[in-house]
Amino acid sequence: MPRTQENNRFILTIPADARWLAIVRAAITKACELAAFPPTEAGHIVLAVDEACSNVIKYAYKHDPFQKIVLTVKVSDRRLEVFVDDEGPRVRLEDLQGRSLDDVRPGGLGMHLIRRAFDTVAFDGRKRRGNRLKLVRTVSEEKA
Amino acid sequence: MQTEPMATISERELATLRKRLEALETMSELSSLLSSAIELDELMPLVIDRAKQDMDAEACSILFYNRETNKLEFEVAICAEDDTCNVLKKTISLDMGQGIAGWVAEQQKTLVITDARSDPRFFQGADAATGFVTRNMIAVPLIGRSGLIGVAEIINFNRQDYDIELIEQLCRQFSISIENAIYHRDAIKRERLKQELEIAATVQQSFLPATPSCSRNAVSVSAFSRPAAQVGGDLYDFIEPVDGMLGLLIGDVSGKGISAALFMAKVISDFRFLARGERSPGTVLSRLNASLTNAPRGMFVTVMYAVVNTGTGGVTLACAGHPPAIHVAESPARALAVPSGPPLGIMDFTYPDTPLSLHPGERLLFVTDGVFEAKNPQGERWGYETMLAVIEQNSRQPDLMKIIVDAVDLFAASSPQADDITLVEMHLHAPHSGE
Amino acid sequence: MKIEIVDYKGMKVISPAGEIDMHSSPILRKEIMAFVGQRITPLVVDLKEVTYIDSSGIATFVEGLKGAMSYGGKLKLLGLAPQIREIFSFSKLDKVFEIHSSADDIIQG
Repeated sequence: MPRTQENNRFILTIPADARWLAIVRAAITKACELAAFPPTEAGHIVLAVDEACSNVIKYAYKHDPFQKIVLTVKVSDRRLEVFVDDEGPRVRLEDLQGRSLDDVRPGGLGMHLIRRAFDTVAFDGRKRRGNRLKLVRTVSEEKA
Repeated sequence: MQTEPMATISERELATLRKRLEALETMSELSSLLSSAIELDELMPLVIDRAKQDMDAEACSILFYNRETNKLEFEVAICAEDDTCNVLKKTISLDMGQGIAGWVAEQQKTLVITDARSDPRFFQGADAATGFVTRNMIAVPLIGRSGLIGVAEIINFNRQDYDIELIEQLCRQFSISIENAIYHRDAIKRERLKQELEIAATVQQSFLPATPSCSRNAVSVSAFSRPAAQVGGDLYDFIEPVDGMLGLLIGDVSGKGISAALFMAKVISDFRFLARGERSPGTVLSRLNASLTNAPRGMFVTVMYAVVNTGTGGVTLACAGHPPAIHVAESPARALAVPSGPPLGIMDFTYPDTPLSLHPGERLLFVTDGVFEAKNPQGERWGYETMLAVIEQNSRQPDLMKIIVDAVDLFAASSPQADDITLVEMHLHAPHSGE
Repeated sequence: MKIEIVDYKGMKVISPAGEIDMHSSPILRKEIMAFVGQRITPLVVDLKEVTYIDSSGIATFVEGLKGAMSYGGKLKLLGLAPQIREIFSFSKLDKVFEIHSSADDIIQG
């Protein structure tokens, strides 16, 4: 088939241990530079990916450092897609719009920071085992 | 006696006719399919599977043209192996002009490749990723009324007596169906969103007190609230937690829209349940915080809760990240320094009570930040200090809240209201003042 | 991240340097809670050497504040870089902590 495999993404696998978060931040910082995000937006994105990984460590793996987190980062011009994969128990986020009042999930600041940074925050329901969080951000036109 | 046929038909002509007939049957079948299926997700696999069967092909796929990224992305792929489809759909997209589909999209012309490996336009990438071996393919551009939609591909077909014009004609019809389906899908989405906003606004309104004022003994409370958009994040509530006490809650939910409205409804309903029978506002906020910390989507709310003794004017306040209340007394009007805990919904916390005496004739004014964060067309903020000055100048006016709102509107002039504006006042009346 | 306890004109100041994340915040937490244990007020943290903070760092300060409030103490933050301050204001926590520009502000105030 006449297509190329994509050459604009990288995959970063880290043990599910908070000491590796600095590596994630460094990689995402550079990815934001490549995608031409302005510094403020890049700061929000780096923080949000850090928070997403922290959530996996805390909630999906319950601080078991022998698990791993797989980050797939697609860098395009003015667009960044980050997939955060884990093999932990299923997290249900049935719908982004959030219609259920009694939907109880680890809340607080981390999720709020993730939502601030990304246009799309969704769990990929097709994944059979573990969780895949999809995060997409395009450079804001007004700020560009 | 047997009649001789008027004309003889050769085997070859007969085969051509049969082929035409079959093609027409396929076309009419597909046509009825196209006109009946409106849901895009249903339509695509049906058409593609039919095409795969008809061409006796190993795989069929449709790539959609993404206007935003100027790339072609796999929308549907039907192959023998599920894994191959998954790889294609998840990881592969093409630039315009790249590969055969990219060429077809750019030139907007059909391409038939009989030997893929010898064609210079063919790249090995997808085969390498999927382990699939491409021998031949037909790629047809899908062009609708609004321009390029995508590319349809039939890969490793075994049928050799196909009619390329017919395939193109089907693809034209297919394009129109896709366009209709996309339009339909977007229209449904818009309608759903509109309905949800209406429902959320109704939910929100139904959770606010029915009348914006209430009096018990010498104390009266009243509120003014004006949402910025259709659905805002500000809230307030009045309650009688125990006899002889009046409770006043003001808050501002982070975020906007439907989820903010629903979160606000949860805040108020939980508050009403937890505030009953409880004199300490700090205790109520600590419990409310516990119920909201596991709340959905990482939302939080700043609130201030005041409980006043309607006989004595003794007030107890508790604050969760909310802007300071203003004590409107003789002079000057001042912001109350109340120790504050974090907004509700962030983490476990014990909110302290702060006592305060309200003297007859005095007022407490509570606001949300939409009031003093209002901006004028030059982008300047109104500011908390300016608000204090306006309160100071009008501290004796009975309609103080209206005066503040008018001042905000005058300042903001033509700028659209960016955030909800809410003010709530607690007034201890002087005896026999007739206020 | 490194932490020093600095004595500034008789006032003990916790001075972390570097990045505060889920990995390093427990170290900061230990120092802050040690101050809380001694019922120190105001509890002052100088953030001028801090380049990054995430929600676990913010939570650490909220926990310190909670501890300080239990004995009527205060938690004051100093020297926040713009990107650090921005997270506090986004979380509506800038009104919750007392935020000062310098240690002298606290001594005079």
